[in-house]
Amino acid sequence: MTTVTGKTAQRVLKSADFDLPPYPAIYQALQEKLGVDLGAVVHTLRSIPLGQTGAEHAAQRADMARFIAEQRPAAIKALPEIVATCFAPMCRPGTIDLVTAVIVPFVDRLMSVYVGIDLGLGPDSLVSQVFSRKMGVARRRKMNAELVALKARLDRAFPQDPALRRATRLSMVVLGRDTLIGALGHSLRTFLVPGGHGLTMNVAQSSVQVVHRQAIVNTHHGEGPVASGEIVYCQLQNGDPDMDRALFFGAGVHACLGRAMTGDVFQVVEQHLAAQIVDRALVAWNLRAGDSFSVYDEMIVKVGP
Amino acid sequence: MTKDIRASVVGALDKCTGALNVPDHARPMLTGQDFDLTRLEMDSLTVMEFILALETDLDLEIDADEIDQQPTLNGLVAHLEARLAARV
Repeated sequence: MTTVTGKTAQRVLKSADFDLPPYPAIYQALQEKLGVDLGAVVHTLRSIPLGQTGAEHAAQRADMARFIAEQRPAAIKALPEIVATCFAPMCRPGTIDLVTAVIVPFVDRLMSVYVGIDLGLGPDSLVSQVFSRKMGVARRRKMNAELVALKARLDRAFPQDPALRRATRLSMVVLGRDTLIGALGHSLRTFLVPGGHGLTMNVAQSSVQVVHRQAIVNTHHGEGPVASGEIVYCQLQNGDPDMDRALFFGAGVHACLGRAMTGDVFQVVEQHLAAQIVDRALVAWNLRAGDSFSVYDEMIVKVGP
Repeated sequence: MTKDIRASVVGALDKCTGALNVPDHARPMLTGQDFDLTRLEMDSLTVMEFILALETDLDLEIDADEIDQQPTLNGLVAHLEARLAARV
């Protein structure tokens, strides 16, 4: 196991000598070893671009890019009202948990606009944690049950969808939800500290700290040799000022497709908060245990008059 | 009756790794001594099997990092006892 950072991480992410670990096969093996039904997790990992390779990945990724482009005008139109409603607790006196009072409801409403159904996923939802390596078996079963229910709701709501588009809607939720919750949490924390420099996006605020890649041939990543099959941990959140800011969204064929959507969100949120002249102080916070995304499960904010 | 957490952990370890078939492992486990769990060289799938056995026996949600953070038998037993006590 090797951990790389900065330019080396970027090189690994862009290199054709590395690909994603075979997540669906790993989960399939876990399911068989434990004799526990994790079929919906395996199905989800086979449906999302980060669980796919080759032509299958290219087709799914292209459909996801088309889908986001199709939905984006409606989302841009809805954003000001959603931001005004969901961020209202940050603009009136009181003490709130930013995560449960603002961020999670906001992301849920926005993702609902994109996906086309009222998702109603609360703070404890596990649907985005398919890459977690730390979750035990009981929580994996809960995640599986949530994914069964989500897939059934999407199938009922969009019976006319071809399989590719059904997978795209599922991917939007699984890949978009916790990444946006995390990015908003990190950026709002920066925004709220004394002397904070506004709600801006940079590498230090990414919700994706580490990305795994597996060498598919014997190769070299610039700092040393890597044997075929070896997993390399690409650390994105290292505060390296020389790192390309694009790495915030990953790099290479698996780079995040939500970049434009994230930009839309941050622009509207920043404008909204800047227009409300109130004192806000972050008094306590706690990062969620788990390794897929860096997400706060608590951010207590005191809003003054 | 209070559940014997150490017996549950040792039972789960034996189920997943056959630890009690190895005299050098069985002796400390069965005589109340501490034991270095890294000696069992459990891979990630075996750790999940161990967690499943513990979760089923103790009716408790356990994450893999809880196991990673407790490299000794006594440490893991104390951690699980504390979690179960906090639930009461």
